[in-house]
Amino acid sequence: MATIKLDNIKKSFGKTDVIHGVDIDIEDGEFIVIVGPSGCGKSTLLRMVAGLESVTSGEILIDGAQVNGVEPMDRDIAMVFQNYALYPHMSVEENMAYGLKIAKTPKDEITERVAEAARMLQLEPYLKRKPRELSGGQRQRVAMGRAIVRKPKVFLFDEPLSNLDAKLRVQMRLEIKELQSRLGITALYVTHDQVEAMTLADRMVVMNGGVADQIGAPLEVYSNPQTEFVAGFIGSPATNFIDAALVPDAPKGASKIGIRPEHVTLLPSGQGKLGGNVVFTEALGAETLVHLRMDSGTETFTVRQDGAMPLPVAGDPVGVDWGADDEMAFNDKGRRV
Amino acid sequence: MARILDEGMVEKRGIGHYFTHVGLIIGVLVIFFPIWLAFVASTVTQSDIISPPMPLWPGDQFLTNYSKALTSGINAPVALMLMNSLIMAMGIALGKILISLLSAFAIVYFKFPGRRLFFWLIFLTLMLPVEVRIVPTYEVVAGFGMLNSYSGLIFPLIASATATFLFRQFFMTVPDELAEAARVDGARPMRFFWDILLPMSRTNIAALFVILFIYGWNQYLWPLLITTDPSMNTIVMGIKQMFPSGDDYADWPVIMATSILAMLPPVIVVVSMQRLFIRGLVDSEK
Repeated sequence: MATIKLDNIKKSFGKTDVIHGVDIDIEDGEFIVIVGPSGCGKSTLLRMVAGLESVTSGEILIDGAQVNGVEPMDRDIAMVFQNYALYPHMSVEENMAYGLKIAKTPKDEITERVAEAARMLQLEPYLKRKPRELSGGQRQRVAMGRAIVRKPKVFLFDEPLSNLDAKLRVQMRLEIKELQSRLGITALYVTHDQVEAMTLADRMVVMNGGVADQIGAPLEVYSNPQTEFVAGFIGSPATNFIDAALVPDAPKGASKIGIRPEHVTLLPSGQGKLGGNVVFTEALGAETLVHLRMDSGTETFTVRQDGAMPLPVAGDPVGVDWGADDEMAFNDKGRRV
Repeated sequence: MARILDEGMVEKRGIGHYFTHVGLIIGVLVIFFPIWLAFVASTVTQSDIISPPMPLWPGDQFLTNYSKALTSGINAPVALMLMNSLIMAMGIALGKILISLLSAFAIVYFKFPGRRLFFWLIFLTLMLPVEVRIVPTYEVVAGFGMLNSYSGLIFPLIASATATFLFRQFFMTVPDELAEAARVDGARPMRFFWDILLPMSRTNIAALFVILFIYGWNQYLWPLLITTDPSMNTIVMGIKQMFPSGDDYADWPVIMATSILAMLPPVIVVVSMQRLFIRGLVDSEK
């Protein structure tokens, strides 16, 4: 139970700057997801909060206390690692109890807390097993259990689901969310998967090249992206970007117009704002993705339409249209106009 | 299952299969024959050995020869030499493991100035054969007054570049997250070493123990140099000391009994540790 404040955090490795000043205010009990492509510095940021990486400049405050030089163990945090980092020679029970054992917690209390965590995570039948005898999902739960038993102020998750298969990922995602809201512990979660970010976050932080491009509630970020990067990164299939010069009535100062695939409607050739040819279609059942090549050149353009609509034929000329409200205009620096 | 394994693992069937076995059996016989002869020679009388033909089946002097070897020997009782060898081999093996574990831990997990330099210095000593440094080492040991002592037998041989290198390579395969998880769990470095790194290295330690124990047991040149007192002789050099000089006659049955006794501890170590060894190979815990 704690607030976290990152104040103008910067990090360089030697002469390479990887984080260029990030400010985040996290409220007590909030679930914050940091999302971004590989190499954007999101893991480094998390590791700085954990205390595994030193801070080059700026301040990290947990519950109002500056923790820049504090060892991880004294920050009262718990971390779940991407590859789980379970101690291979210890049983599930010992793995979960290890932190408490070091903290010299009384034996009875350790047993009790481990049992409670095991019950919460449905790990009771596996307490005596070694990690190698468990499936990926179970190992993931043990890693969670190790974090829970400590009753920390803050949970840190470093891409905890990326080693699981798709089905398990969805299930664990729900469990993590449920667990966090039940325990009410502030959580900082790093992922490159935008679906995880959208579903888990109370607020999400979209990182790009060592800068937090936008911080906000997932739907707010989705519907109102502040930069071209955010518009392109969040949402699948990705936002279409068109040179503003080609779009009639483009706002002043805009160099690119972004338009989400679900906001576009296909029209017969010659109608609508722009024209193009169908390159290929992906019928997914509930929806169909139509990929176009625009008349203006080689730009590709994706349209998402209801699965019940008739399938366009590859090579057919079509027109596209969208509502002016759905347009997102960006200037030549990639900022929203 | 068995069929699949048979077909998968043994490519040649039929005649070739038997030839392979015959070849292996002949190989074993060739290697085992001298040992058998030594055993036979240790169970007969001196006159049986020196009058040709040499006997090929054990005689009835087993107890006499072995008890004579163990209790009185020729220069020193073999029991005493066995004990000396055991202390030296255990000291060398355990000492080497302890020191190289700690130095590998330092090199892999701590950042300190000259870290690479120290590693390469250790690595460099791998290239120097024992014979090159044996005279200066002798000087040093003599200066410390460690001649004819266990510490003199053990300490000069205790540093091991090979073992350090081996543990370094193993530690580097241990995921960094494990050390970080331990840090988050509150383990200080030495706690991490004892609670996590050491148990994880136990199959490597077992493997190394076997190799180093035999290395220590078989030391010949170094004990020969620094032990002049027969009561400090080790068994391997002791066998050579039993050979007569000048006109004395060799007590072959006792010498052979000593040889057989000298072979036993390494065999016991290999056989008993083999189980741990193989288990470690089968269920890897990385």
